[in-house]
Amino acid sequence: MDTKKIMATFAILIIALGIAGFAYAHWEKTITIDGTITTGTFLLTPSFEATVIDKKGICTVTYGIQGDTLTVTIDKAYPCITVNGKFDLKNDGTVPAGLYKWTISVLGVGSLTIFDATNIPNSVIKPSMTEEQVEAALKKFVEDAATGPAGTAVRITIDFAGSNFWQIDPTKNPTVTFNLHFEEALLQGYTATFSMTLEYWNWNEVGYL
Amino acid sequence: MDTKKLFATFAILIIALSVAGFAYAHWQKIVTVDGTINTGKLDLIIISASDDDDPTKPDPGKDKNVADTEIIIDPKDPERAIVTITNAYPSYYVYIHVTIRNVGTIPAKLREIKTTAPECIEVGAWDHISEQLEPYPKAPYQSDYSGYIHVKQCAEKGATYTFTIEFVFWNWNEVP
Repeated sequence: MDTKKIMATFAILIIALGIAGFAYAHWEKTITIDGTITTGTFLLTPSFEATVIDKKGICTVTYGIQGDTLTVTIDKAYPCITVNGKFDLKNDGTVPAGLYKWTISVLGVGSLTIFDATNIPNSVIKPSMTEEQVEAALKKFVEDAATGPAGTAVRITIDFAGSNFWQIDPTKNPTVTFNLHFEEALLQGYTATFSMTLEYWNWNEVGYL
Repeated sequence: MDTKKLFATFAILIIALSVAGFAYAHWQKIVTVDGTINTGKLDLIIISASDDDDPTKPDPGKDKNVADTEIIIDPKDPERAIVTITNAYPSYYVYIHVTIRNVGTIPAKLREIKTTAPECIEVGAWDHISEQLEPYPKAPYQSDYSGYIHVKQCAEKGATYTFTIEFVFWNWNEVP
């Protein structure tokens, strides 16, 4: 290697070190904010109980809850018997729950919407209603739904007794009782199968609370 | 050894000694400059921390008091603040604020803000990039810095997430 090359290499090395020296020469102090976020829990637990007023003990009602699903079967129903039921939904989580959608699917009829937070004007019940108005709207809805193959087959009374199913705060368990009376128009050998779904979201996302 | 060689050796010895004698015989005075360099200190600390979720009032932008946020200065390290958010839910958001003071001896400039957070947590901090803080007590020796934390829709129930915000200061002359 001749002298010129050695000089050039040396010069480049000096420049590189100078640049590196400049880049690494700063002093630095970092202020840190460390954060931990624990999210809440969202858990609604349904419970149900029902009795049949049937002096002859022919009609029976059985029910069970598995996970979030409540299954109720009324067997050997006939005109003039009454089924009393009580349903409650307890918020076992830590975040308030808001009703987002309430639908009922009736076999042979289809899916009916009782409440939809994205379409409140066309919902059967509305948050702006009083408790009595909600009860009356549900009563009409059930009795109208029962009209069809079964005719005017049932009469129902519904009582929320001050419970608020629109929004369920943690530890609260709103209750609704109902009284289902089978009328003379009840068809023989008829089976009605339905599935009801209550969809709750964290209260701040439903849009109307 | 002949006479000429002896003479030559003697002559060389005499010359060498005279040269050495000259070298040791000079007078000298040394003037010394002793230097001490004390470098400055780049040092910043958090002197106060707060958040806008009042524990006695509804959550920011909400109608209920559900989640809670607490921010404290680490008692063992004033360069660190600790944020603890509990019972959070999708859409919960909160602003946090820290006041950072330059307690060093040279000016400091905020070079960058780094944030790290999981996908379902949004963390933002954006204020005062390139702002210079003078050493206390020369103003401006401190400033308020804010951060934003938002729990996104994909956040899981009953989960724990962590995030970090870092305010990186350099000596002022190295920050463009």
